[in-house]
Amino acid sequence: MKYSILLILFCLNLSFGQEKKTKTSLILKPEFSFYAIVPNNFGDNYLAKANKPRIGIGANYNFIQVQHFKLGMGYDYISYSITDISKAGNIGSSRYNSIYGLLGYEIKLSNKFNLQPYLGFGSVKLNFKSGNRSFGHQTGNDFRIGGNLNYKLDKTVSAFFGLGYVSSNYDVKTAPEFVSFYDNSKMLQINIGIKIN
Amino acid sequence: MKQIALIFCILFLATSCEIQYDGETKMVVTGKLIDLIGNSLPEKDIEITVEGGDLLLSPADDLISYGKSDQNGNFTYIFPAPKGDNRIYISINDINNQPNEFQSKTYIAAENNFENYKLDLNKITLYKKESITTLRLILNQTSTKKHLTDIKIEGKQPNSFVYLDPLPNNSDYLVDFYDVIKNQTVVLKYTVIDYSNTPTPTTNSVSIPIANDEVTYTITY
Repeated sequence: MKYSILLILFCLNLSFGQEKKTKTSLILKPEFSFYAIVPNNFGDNYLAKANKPRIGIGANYNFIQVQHFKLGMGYDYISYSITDISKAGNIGSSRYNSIYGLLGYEIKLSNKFNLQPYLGFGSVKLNFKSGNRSFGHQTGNDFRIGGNLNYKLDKTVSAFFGLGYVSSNYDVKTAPEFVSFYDNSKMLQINIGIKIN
Repeated sequence: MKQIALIFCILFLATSCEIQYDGETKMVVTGKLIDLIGNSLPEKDIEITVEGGDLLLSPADDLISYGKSDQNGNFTYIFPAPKGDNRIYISINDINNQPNEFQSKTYIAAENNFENYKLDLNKITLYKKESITTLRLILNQTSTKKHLTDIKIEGKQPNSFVYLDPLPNNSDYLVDFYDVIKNQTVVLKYTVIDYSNTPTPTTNSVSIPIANDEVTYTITY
C-alpha cells in the first residue's frame, strides 16, 4: 500500500513536470513584419512571359511560438503591367494576391543576427484589371519556401532581408496546348522589410 | 421629379454597364494570312472586339485584343472570355487613312464557334483590292405571281464579312450586289417559285464570266 501511494505520487510528479515543460515551450508571441517584394518570375508561364512586375508589398503576422518554431500568416500583393497583349488581352494589369499560412524556425546566429527559414501554403488570386475595370480573375493555391536574415535594431524592431521561392497553381479553362502556360507561375522573391515584436 | 430620377437612373445604367469577363476561361483565336497564290502575309493588322449588344443600354464594345500577323502570316490571340453570349468580331487588315493593298475581312463568331475554347480560322486568303470587281444583279419581275428566292453565287469571292454563327435564314431578303474576284466564271444559282397554281419552285443555274470590269446580270422571272 505504502509503495502504491509512493508510485502514484511519483507519477503525479512526472506528469506535473511534463505540464510545466509544455507551458514554457508554447508562447503567444505576436510579431509583425512589413516588407517590400522584388519579384522575379521565371519559366514558360503567363506572369513570366506576358507581364512585367512592379515592386510588391507584403505583411506577416506570427502569433504562436513553440520553442524555435513560429506559426503565422501573411499576405502578398504584387501588381504586374501587361507586356504581351496577344497572350493576356487588351488589359492594363494583372494583380497577384496571396494569403498564406507560415511555419518558420528561428536560428540564432549572434546577439544581433538570426536566420529564419520558413515554409508556407496559401490561396492565390490573380485579378485582371484596367484601372478599376475588371476583366475577371484566376484563383489557385501557392507554396512558398525561403528564409529571412534578421538584424536586431533594438529590443522590438529588426530589419530583415529575405529570399523566397513561390510556386503557384491556378484554375484555367483553355485550349489544351495553352493550359500549362496559364495554370502556374514560379517566382523568386527578394524581401526587404522590418519586423516588430 | 420622377422623370428626372428616371433620367438619372437611365444615365447611371448606361454608364455603369460593362461586359463581364471570366478570367479563368481563356479564348484562343488563331489563323494564317495568305494571298491568292499562297504567299504568307506578314504585318497585317488584327483586331478582336467583343460586342456589347444592339440595345440602347447595352455595354460598349471592348477591343479585347489586337496586334499583327507574324513574319509567316500566323497569328494567335488569347483573351479572357466574356461571361455572356456576346458576339466576337475578328477584323483583319481593317485600316483606315492608310494605303491598303489588300482587302479587309471580318469574321463574326459566337461562343459555340469555339471548339475547346479555340477558334482556328486556318488559312485566310486576302485578295488584292485591284483583283476584286463586282457582280450586280438586276431583278426583273415579269409576274406578281412569281417569287425569287435563295440567290447564291459560287466562285471566288473576297467574303469581307463571314458569319460563323449564321443569322436566321431569311430567304426573302435578296442581295443584288456581290464582290467577286476578276478573271473567273462564277455560277449564279437562284430559285423561282410560281404561285399561279400549286406553288412550284424551279432552281436555276447560270454561269457568268467575270473579266476585269463590273458585270451586270439580269434575272428575269
